[in-house]
Amino acid sequence: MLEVHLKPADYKSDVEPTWCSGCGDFGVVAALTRAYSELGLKPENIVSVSGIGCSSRLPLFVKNYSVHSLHGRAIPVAVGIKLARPDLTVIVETGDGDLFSIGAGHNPHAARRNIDITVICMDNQVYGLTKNQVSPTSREGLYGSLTPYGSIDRPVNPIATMLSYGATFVAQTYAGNLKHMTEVIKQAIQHKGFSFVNVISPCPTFNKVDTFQYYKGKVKDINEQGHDPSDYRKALELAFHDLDHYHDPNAPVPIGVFYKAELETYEDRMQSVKRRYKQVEDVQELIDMCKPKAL
Amino acid sequence: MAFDLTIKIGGEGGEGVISAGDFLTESAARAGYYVVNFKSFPAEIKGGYAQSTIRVSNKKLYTTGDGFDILCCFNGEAYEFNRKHLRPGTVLVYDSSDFEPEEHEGVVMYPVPLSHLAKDIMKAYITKNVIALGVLCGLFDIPVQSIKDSIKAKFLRKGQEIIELNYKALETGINYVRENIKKLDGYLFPPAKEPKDVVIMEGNQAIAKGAVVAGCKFYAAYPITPATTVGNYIVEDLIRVGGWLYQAEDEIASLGMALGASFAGVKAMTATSGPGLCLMTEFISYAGMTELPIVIVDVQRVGPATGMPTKHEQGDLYHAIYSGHGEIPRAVLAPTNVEESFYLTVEAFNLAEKYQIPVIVLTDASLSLRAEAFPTPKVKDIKVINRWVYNAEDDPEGKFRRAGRFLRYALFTEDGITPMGVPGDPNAIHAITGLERQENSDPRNRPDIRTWQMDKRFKKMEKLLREDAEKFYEMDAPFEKADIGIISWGLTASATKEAVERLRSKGRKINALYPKLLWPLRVDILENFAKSCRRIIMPESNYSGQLATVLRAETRIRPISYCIYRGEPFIPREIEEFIEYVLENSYIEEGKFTPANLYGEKAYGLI
Ligand SMILES: Cc1ncc(C[n+]2csc(CCOP(=O)(O)OP(=O)(O)O)c2C)c(N)n1
Ligand code: SF4
Repeated sequence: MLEVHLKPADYKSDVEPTWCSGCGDFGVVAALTRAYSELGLKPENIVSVSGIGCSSRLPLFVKNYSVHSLHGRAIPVAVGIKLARPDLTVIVETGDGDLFSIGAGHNPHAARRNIDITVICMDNQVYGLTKNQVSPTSREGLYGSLTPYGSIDRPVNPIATMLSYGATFVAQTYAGNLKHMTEVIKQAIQHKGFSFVNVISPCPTFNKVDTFQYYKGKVKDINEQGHDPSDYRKALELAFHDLDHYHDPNAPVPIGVFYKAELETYEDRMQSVKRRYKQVEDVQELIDMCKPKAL
Repeated sequence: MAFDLTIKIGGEGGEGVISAGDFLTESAARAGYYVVNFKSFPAEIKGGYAQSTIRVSNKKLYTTGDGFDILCCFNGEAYEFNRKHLRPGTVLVYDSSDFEPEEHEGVVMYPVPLSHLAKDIMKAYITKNVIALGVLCGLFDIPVQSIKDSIKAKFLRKGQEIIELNYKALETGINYVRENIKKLDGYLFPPAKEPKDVVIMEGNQAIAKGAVVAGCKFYAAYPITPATTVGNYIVEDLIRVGGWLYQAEDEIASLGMALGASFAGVKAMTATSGPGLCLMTEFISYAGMTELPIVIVDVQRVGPATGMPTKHEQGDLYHAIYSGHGEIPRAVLAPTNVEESFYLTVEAFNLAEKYQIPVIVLTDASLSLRAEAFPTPKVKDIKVINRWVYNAEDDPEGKFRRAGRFLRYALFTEDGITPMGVPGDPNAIHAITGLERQENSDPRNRPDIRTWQMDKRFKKMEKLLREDAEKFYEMDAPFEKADIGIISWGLTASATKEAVERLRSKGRKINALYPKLLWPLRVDILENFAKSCRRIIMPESNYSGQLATVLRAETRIRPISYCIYRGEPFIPREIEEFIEYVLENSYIEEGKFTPANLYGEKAYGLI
C-alpha cells in the first residue's frame, strides 16, 4: 500500500553530493530514491543512518531523517532508532571499510538478532575518503598509500559473512545497473528482518582495477539463472563463488537475492516479552516496591 | 538518648553474610531507625572473604563510620582480616566451633558454636546466618519482630516451611544466648520507634529508579563491574513502563544505540565504568556536537586499565570533564549518597533534555553497593523536564524553516537552544552530523559558520550556569571567617560531613561546601566560599587531587589536597585527623598530602 505518490526527485535533498564524477555512489542515490518512490514511503517516516566515508555521506543527499554518525558506528545508532521507534523504516548506508573493518563488531549482532533494518554497503573495495588505502574487501595485490608493495591480505567475502551471521535477507547488486539496484533495494526494505545489500560501487578515482569496465561483462543475475532464495545451502554455495573472479578472469560475479527467509524479528520478540509484563499505571508503584516489605 | 551502633559481619562468600546484613538493614528501617549498609564481596564468584557493615542510629547517618562496635565472625578468616581493628570497647561474637581467637585487651568476647548449632541442632547448615542473627538479637535487644517480618517477606515465595525453619533458627540463636551467655558489654538497641515512611535502595538501584521516574524508556547495557547492577535493577521496571533494555555488543555500541533512541525521540541512557567510558569517548563528543540529549552513568572503579574492578576511587573526573576530541558543552553530576543518586539521576535527565547535551553522572564502586533508608520519594512532586519538540503550529512565521528545510541548528535563539525534530513529523525533516554545519545541517568548513556554531553550543552552558547550577552547591558555612573550608565531592563528601560535625562539636571553626555539579563550575560561588575560609582543604580518593586541580585551573582557589588511592573510601576519622593536622601546622597553605605525611609510611589499610 502506497503511503504517498512522490517522484524520485522529491526524495533528493538540496545538499549537492560531493562525490567525484563517475563515482558509483551516485547510482545508489538514484536507486534508493526510486525505491522510496515506488514503495510510496513518506520521507518523514524514513531514517537514513551512516558512518563515515565517501559512501556514508549519502544520507545528507536524501530527503528523510538522516544521521551521519561516526566511522563504523551506523549499525548501533540504527538499532537504537529502530528499537525506540519500530514504526520507522531504518536504512543504513555504509562503505566496505566502515562496515567490515572498524564497524565489524556490530553487524553480526544486528544480523543474528534479526533487527528489522536494511544495510546497504557501497563496496568500492578501497578506502575512498582517506584517499586510497586498501579495505577489507580489496583484492590481493591492490596498491594503496599504505601498501605500496600491493596488498598481501586476503579479502573478506561480504555475502558469505553476512549469511553466516544469520542475516535473513542477503543480496548483491551493481551500481552499473539502476534497474537491478532499485529492485533489490525495494525488496530489502520490504523484507521484515535484517537485510543486507552489497552494492558493487566502483571508485574511479582510487581503485583502478575494480572499475565499471571490469565488472561490465562479469555480473550475472543468479535469480534469472534460476536460484531460489529460500535455499540457504545453495545461497552459501553461490556466495563462496562470489570472489572467484579475483583469481579467474572468466568467472562471473553473482548479483541478485542470495537468501531470504521470513523469521520472527527482534521487535516481534520484544513485543511478546513486553506482553508478559503487567504495565504500571503510576511510576510511584515502582518506588513503593523498595519499602521494607509490607506484610 | 543518642544511639549509634555499627555491626560488622564477616565470613565466607556464600555463607549468608550478605543476606544477614540485608535482614538487619531492612529490619532496622522497619523498626524506625536510620540505617546505612555497606557490603563487599570477593571478586571470585564463590568463596573468599565477604562482609557486611551495618550502622544503625536514631539520627541521620552519612557513612558506616570509622570501624565497628560489634564484630561477628563466621570463620577464622574474618577474624584474621579484622583483628587489628579490635579496640578496647568493641565486642567480638564468633563461631567457636570454627576457631579460637587470641585475647584482646578490653574486648568483650562471646563464643557461640554457630556451625555446631546449624549442623547438629538445626540439621541445616544454611541456617547459620539466621542463627547468628538470633544471637545478635539476644545479645543486643534487636527488635525480634522486625527481623521476623523481614524473614517472612524474603521467604514468602518459598513457602511456610522455609519461614518456620528460619524462625526456628532465629529462636535457636536467641535461646543459646539466654542459656549460655552472660552479658558483659553495654550495647543495646533502644525500643523500636514508630516506623517511618522510607524506602531502602542500593546506590545503583537508586539510579535505576531515578531514571524511570525521569521518563527514561531506553537503556543500552554492556556488563561491567560495578555498573552492571544499574541494568539489573532497571530492566523489568523499564518493561513495565513500556520501555526496553538492550544488551549491546560493547560500550561503543551502547552509547551509539542510546543516542539513536534519543534521536528517535525517546529519553535514553547507558551506564558503565571507567574502561567502558573510555570506549564511549568518541560518541560523547558526537553527542555534544549533534546536540543529542543523553545520560551516561559512570560508576567509577579503581583504574587505570582494568585496575581494581570492585574497589572505590574518584579517578574518572578528568575523563568526565575533559574527555573527547574538540570541545563540547556537557554537565557532570556526582551524588554523595544513595538518596542523591536517585534525585541527581532525575536532574541529569532534566539537564540533558533542557540543554540537549550529554550529562555524565559519576558515582563509584562503594556507593553503588551501599544501601540506605531514606524518605519515600513522592513521584508526583518530582519535576521532570521534557525536550523541546518542534511543532509547526507554534511557529506560524516559519522561523525554524528556510527554503523548506528545518533549521535544527538555527543560530538566532538567544540561549543557543533550538527545537528538536522527531522522525514522523513532515515539518521537521533534517539531518544530524558530526561535521560542522550550517543552520540547516548542511556541512560547511567556513570560519564564520564554525565560530557561530561553537558559540551557539556553548551559550547553552551560560544558561545552565545562570538558571540551574546554584541548587547543586550544598553550602554548610555557618562561620563568617572559618579557619578551614572543606570542599569535597562524591562519596568523600559523606565522610567529610561526619568529620565536620565532630570537629565543630570540639569548637573548631570549619565551613564546608559540597558541589554536586562538577562541570560547568559556578566560579563565583566557589570563590565566595573560599573567601570565607582561611585555608581550603580538599579530600579526594584519587592520586592527583582531580577536583582540586580543576579548581586551580578554573578559579583563584589554592587548595590543600588530601589524597588516598588505596581502593577504599575515606573514613570520617581520617578526614578529621587531617584537618586537625592542618590546624596544628599553620605553615601549610597549599599542596598535596597523603596519609603517609601524617602517619608515616605504613599508613594504608585504615579500615
Ligand atoms: C575513528 C576514525 N578512524 C578513522 C577515520 C578516517 N576515515 C574516514 S573514512 C575512512 C574509510 C572509509 O572507507 P569506506 O568505508 O570503504 O568508505 P568509502 O570512502 O570508500 O566510501 C576512514 C579510515 C575516522 N573518520 N574515524
Ligand atoms: S574517492 Fe572514490 S568513492 Fe570517494 S567520491 Fe571519489 S570516486 Fe567516489
